[in-house]
Amino acid sequence: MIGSFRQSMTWLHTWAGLIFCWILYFMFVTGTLGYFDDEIDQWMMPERPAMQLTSVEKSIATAVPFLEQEASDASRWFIALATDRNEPLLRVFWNTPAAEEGGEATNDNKLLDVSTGTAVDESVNASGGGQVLYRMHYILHYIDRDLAYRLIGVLTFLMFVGIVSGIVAHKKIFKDFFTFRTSKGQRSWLDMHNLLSVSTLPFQIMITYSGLIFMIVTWMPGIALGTYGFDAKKLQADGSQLLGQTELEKSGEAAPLADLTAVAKLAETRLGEGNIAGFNIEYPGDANARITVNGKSAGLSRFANRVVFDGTTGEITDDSEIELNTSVNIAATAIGLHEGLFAGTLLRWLYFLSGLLGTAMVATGAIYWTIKRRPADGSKASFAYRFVECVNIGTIVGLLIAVAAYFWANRLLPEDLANRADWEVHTMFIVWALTLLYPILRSASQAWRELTWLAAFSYAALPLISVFTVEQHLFNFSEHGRWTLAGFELTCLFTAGALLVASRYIAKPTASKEIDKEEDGSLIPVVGK
Amino acid sequence: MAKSLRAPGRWHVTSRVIAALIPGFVLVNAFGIALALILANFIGWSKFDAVAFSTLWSFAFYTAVVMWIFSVKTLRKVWLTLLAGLVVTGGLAYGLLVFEGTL
Repeated sequence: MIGSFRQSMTWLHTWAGLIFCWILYFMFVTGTLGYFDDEIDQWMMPERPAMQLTSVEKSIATAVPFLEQEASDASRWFIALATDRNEPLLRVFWNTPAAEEGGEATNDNKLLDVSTGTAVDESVNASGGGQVLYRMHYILHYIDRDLAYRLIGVLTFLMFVGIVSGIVAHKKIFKDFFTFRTSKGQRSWLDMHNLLSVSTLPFQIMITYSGLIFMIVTWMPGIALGTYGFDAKKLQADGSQLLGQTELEKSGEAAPLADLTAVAKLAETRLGEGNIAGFNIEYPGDANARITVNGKSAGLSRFANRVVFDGTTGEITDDSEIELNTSVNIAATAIGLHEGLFAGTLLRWLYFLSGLLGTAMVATGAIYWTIKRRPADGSKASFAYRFVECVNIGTIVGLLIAVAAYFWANRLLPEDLANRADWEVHTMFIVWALTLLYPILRSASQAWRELTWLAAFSYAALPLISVFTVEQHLFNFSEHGRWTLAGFELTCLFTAGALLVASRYIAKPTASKEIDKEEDGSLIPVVGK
Repeated sequence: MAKSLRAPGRWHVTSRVIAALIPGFVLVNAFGIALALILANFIGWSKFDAVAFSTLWSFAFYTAVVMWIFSVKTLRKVWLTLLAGLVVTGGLAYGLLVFEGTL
């Protein structure tokens, strides 16, 4: 489009990157925190039982009576066993069909405390926890879920275009990788952006392309539909056949549900001892009831095998091994890699670190954009330039403050506040809005420095706030011994320290406005300037 | 070299964005359908395997198409090539659907 292919790609990288970089940054921040979603849950709801790994028999003995009592008219029950960090507690789900014609079907779920046999009270100190925070990275907040999902698909695609065009734009990718010029102003920001991007490139490609794979049904249904001559039924039939799913009709005749404990015993002979993740029970109490016992997924892939039972006799009706085709396997593995549910503690931290580096990649790219276009001394910045600068500051540092505010709100909002969990999120976005406005009042370097200090303070204060608001905190760790809580608060302190260090560098005036035309080759002025 | 590095005009950008969003996107779908049908009819894959393969890599095809759209010099070439691509892949897909008796 302009000059050589590489120059066009630099243009594309710059603009595909800049135009939505703040939402990408938001996705990176909330998504990265998502690798510790369950740990954040624990910190935000410390009174909840932390983890109850228990026998299948005991889980069934808790879940089934509860469902019989609360969801006797449900069309489906799902019992998700407490298995590991990802599913720390027993949870039951149920779908209730519409009571009358034209009504709406509903679904509900409850966490169960196996020690008391009752539902965990989620109304006192209600909190969105890490789940609400991490879900924002793919459904945003305040806007319609489907719309958000579509929007995120577009952004993820732009991110992928940004990555590939960024690689192409980079003439000397390996040489530059080993080049880091500190205190060289503009050049240092570019070097930093390159270093962050190239060193984490496999992760960035994996996370972005697998993010797109989540979007296949939303954005690329056309290929599958078209290949089947736009016959959705035939496509669905082939898909169900692959996954070994068959339709089930309710008979209307009542019949008692088979003994789940016996079913579980039998299922373990096929899936392996202790390898049950959950029970899917369709039409419980009906003569046509069906029980599907899901195994735990092995390895990276999210896919797991299952055994199907007759829901009244408790006999196996289908224990065939499902053979996924290569492409579906690749997709399942990519999704598994994206979610990283298989990761143990060390690998989880690596995921978190990679996410942070990706976050920093987006941030340094956005900062570089403004530094490169910084108006000469004394001349007035255009409105567009000033806008980007302010949103950069208000997002790159401001969002970090907003996330801290989400945690502050969790500790400080009154226990019995109506819609308490919603108010945690409102607090986060109100604070973000304020940090977006603040840079308007200050010069760029003042705003960078002051907001970074505020961010450092807001994280440093979190462990102290805990001392006054909850029973278990960092300073009585020896009494409760919960590493998750201590780890969260230590991470907050570490974050505060890192932000303090950053504040010393981030607003340093550029030493020299050295422009390296030859090496950079991407001197493109702002469109419309 | 420096002379050619002007900022692209506004119309240039808008036109290419539209080209990427509409004909570019349709082209990726048509190409994906044609590819899946070729795999299913001539390589012996099951239809569902072929569809899964084609769809899985569709975002990579799309990336290539978008990068190409933003690298070509003239708008004329962008639109004419996209149009030609659509006719070829769309025609191929349609022909294969008729050939295998789906349509």
